[in-house]
Amino acid sequence: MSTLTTEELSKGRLVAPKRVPEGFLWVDAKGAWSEDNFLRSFIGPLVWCSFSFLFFAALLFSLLAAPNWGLFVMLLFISMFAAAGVGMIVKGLRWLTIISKFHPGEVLLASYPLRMGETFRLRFRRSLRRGYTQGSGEINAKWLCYEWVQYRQGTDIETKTHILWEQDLPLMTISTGTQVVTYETKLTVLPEGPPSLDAQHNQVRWEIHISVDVPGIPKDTAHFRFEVVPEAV
Amino acid sequence: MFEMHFHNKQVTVGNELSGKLVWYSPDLHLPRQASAFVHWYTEGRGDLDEQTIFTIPLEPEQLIRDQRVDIPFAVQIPHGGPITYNGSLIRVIWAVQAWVKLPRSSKRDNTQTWPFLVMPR
Repeated sequence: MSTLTTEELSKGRLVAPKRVPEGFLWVDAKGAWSEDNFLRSFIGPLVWCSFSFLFFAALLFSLLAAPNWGLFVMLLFISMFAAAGVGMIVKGLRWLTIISKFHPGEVLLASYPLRMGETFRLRFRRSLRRGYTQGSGEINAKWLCYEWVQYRQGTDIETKTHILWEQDLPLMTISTGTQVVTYETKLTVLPEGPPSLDAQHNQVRWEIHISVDVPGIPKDTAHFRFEVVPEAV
Repeated sequence: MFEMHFHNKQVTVGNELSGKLVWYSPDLHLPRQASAFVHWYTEGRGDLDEQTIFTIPLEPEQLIRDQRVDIPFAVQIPHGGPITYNGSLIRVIWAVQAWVKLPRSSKRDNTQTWPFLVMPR
C-alpha cells in the first residue's frame, strides 16, 4: 500500500480559497508566520528539551560520580528523548529560515470547485522577501489523490493514508536572479474521481505538492488541497 | 416491523430520494418511541463519521396494531454528497434507518437499515 510520510502530509480540513480578481487564491499557511506555527515549532520543542536535557545532565553527573549499568541504561534511554528534542529544534530553525527568506506560497485557479474529469490551469508563485536567488534552483510538483483516515487506538490517535492516484509534474528550473518563483501547469481531475470527502476522521483529498529548491534556502514543500465536487464534466 | 419501498434505489446528488416506509405489526406491544431517518456513515479504518440528512416524521401513535401504516417520504440528497464510496481505507454508506423502543425496554429494538446508492451527477 503506498502511503505518505508525516512530512508529506497536509493538516486539517478543506480551506475555502480567497476570491480575488484573477480567480481563487490559496495561501500556504505552513509557509506563513503565525503564533500557532511558532508555538508548535519552538515553544513545544523548548519545553521538551528543557526536561529531557535536565534529566540527561542529572543522569550524566550521577553516572560520572558513581558509574553503574543501571544508570548507563537510563542515560541511553533519556538520550533518545534529548536527541528527539534536538531534531525538533533543528526543524523549527529550518522553518524559521524558510519563512524569513520566502513569502508563503500561493496558488491561483480561474474557477472553483473542481469537477470530475475537469482540466484546469494552475498558477503557483512564491516570492523572496529580499533580493534574488543566488544560483539556479528547481521546482518539482506532484498532483495526487489519496485517502486519509484518523482513528483512536488506546490513548493514541493514529493516521493512515492510501494513495489512490499520483502524477509527477514536469520539473522546472529556476534561473539565477529570480525574485518571484512561478510555476504554471495544466492538471486534470480523473473522470472517475473520486470526489472529495471532507469528514472529521475520513477524507478523500485532492492535492498539489510543490517543492521549491533554491541555493541557500532549505527545500520547502507547499501543500494545497482542492475540493472536487461529485459532478462530471 | 417496517418494510421499505424505494421509488428509486439509486439517486444522483442534488436529486430526490423518495419511498414509503410501511409499518405492520401483529404484536400486542406497540412501540413507545419510534424514529426513522436518512443518513450517511463511514466504515473502514477510520473512526466513524456520520450525518443525518433527513428525519422522517414518525410518531408512535401512528403505529397501530394489525394495520398497515404507510409513511411516505422524500428527501433531496445534498449537491455536495458525499457519494456512495468503496475505497481502500474508507467506505461511505447511505441508508434509511428505522428503530422502535418497546414498552419496558430502554434499548432500541428492531433496528432496520435499508442502504441505497448515491452517485455523482
